Amino acid sequence: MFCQVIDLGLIDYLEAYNFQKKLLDQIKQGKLNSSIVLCQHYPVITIGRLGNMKNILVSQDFLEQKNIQTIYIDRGGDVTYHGPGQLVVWPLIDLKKYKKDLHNFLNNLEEVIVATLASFAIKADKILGKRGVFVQEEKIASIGIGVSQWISFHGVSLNIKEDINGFNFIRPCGLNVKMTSMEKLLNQNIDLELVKGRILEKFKIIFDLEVYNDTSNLARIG
Amino acid sequence: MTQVILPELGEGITKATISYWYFKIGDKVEGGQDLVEMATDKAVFNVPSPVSGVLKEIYFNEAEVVEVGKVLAEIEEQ
Repeated sequence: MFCQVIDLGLIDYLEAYNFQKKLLDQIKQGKLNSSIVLCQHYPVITIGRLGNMKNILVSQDFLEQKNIQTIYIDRGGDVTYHGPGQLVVWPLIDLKKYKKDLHNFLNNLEEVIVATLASFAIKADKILGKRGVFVQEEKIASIGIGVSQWISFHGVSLNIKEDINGFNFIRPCGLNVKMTSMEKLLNQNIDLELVKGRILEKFKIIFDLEVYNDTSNLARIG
Repeated sequence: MTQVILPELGEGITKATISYWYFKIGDKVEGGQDLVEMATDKAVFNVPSPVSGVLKEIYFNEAEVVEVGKVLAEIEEQ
């Protein structure tokens, strides 16, 4: 299956979200191929559909002072944090071409992250009964998706850079879990572009995709 | 009347929570349009309307848990 890659760079959450929803509409209408959107966000807290405000551990005033918005969104999962240095990957993939199975898709997404981390010599795992990707007991990637007409949206976020202090303001995914990042684990600078390339390689293999870069559709969608 | 059924969502997924009705009783809906958003632990799934028509019945409210295979709503075809 052909799949275009769109890299939005560092972008405001709502701006990226609105882009994603327009892209989803175009894919649903058959006007565009399945797509993988890559981006990073300015600091923001998002709450999924079954999320609980109690999992935000600081006051809204405090977050406003820090210029961190709190946004309810249409994905599964609870509370998460996004910030620069974390790679957000939104696969908008036609699941009708695979198995129409949400768990199967979530497993495959987690597998992409596990395989990507393995290519950096980080041994990561899935934990039975918990979603996301962990290195020992610490969580390195969070997951939460939406599906409309069996096209997926939202996806997974992988902590790459060392600064993940924003997670201190929340109980990530409603869990009492410590978060980690690739740089914390490897104690060295990690090139974000290198991680993007590796993630796309793993998508190609695990989802059997023909991945290509296409920026010509950006204006039409945006 | 056409029944809207919560479809199979995947192996091991037996139920989901109604998170949002996009329409209310009496509204016109198009076939294929998202009718109701269901949530599982890490995924939301939009159930489309199988036909174009008028939404006549809604059997579950938001925040209620529904088993796979249950009738969510009924639509009078037009």
